[in-house]
Amino acid sequence: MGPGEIFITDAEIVRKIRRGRSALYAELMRRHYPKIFCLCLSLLKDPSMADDAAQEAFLKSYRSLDKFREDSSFLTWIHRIAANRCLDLIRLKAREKENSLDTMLEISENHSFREVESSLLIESSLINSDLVEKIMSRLPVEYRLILVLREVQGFNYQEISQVLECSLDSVKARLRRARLACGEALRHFKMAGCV
Amino acid sequence: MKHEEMKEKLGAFQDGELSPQERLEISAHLAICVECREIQKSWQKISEVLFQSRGFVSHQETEKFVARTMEKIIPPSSKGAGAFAGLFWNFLTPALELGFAALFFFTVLGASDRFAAPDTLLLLGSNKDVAELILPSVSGQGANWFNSLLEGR
Repeated sequence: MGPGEIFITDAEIVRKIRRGRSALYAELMRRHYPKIFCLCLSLLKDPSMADDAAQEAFLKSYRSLDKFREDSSFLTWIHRIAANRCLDLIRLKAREKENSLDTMLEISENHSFREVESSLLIESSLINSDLVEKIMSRLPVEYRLILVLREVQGFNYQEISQVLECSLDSVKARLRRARLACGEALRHFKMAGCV
Repeated sequence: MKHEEMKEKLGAFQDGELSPQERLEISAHLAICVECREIQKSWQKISEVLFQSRGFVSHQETEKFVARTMEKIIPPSSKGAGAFAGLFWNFLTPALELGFAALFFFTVLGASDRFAAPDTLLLLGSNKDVAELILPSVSGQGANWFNSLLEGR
């Protein structure tokens, strides 16, 4: 924002859009697309799918702006829509691949370990980004979601509870379990001498 | 708080989600408990390595996304009446301007001899009737100009 420009909050923009100034929705997308894309990418692991999911989330939120209650922020609301969309897509994908799941797992495991072997030369303090994806992909999607909300998006527990529609205690417990699982996944790769 | 309880709260401690009292207790515990210190350090490192570089989207990518999505929200065709009005004014404005310019031109130039007879025109003779018909108000310098135009001067 340049000097002299007035900052308008998300809530004010939403109110103006409801009064008919639809073009202002572009500003909301400009503010939040990077975070939403990042969330979708973390969950779907495919840039093109992530982009589509982000677009669907923004379109859905635009169409249901009337239902948006201002007891939470627009940011957490759009995160909730995007996360739900991604979870739907993952479930759909899982159902499609159900028949060939064993074969897929076999291929993926072999591929991972070949990559681990080939990345032994990487400095111990660094992890190649593909490997990060491998570690993340070992985690259940619910863990990935809560870790991204906390570690990447920087949401506090209150905001996470709004996105996941659960209690604060549940956020704490889920986050602890996700971190433990993440540590386990990392240890798995550590044993291969990669990290 | 017991050691196990403290261990469970290390994540919330790192996230800054504990009360001041709990923070004090955990800080004091961390100073004496090697295991908890190790857990905390290892999570800090995991967090740095796994999550620090994630999620960069350039300004251009954002703008492309916004344009693409706004087209679905407000399709160009649905600008409807606005689009039609735009088209109408685009054509009408120059036409009106030209019309006013022509009116001004003939009015000003013809002011000195407003009702000059059509026989001052080159279109005299066999075309006199036509001249009277089509140029009743063209006169004076306007008529001269029209003559020179016809003569190709």
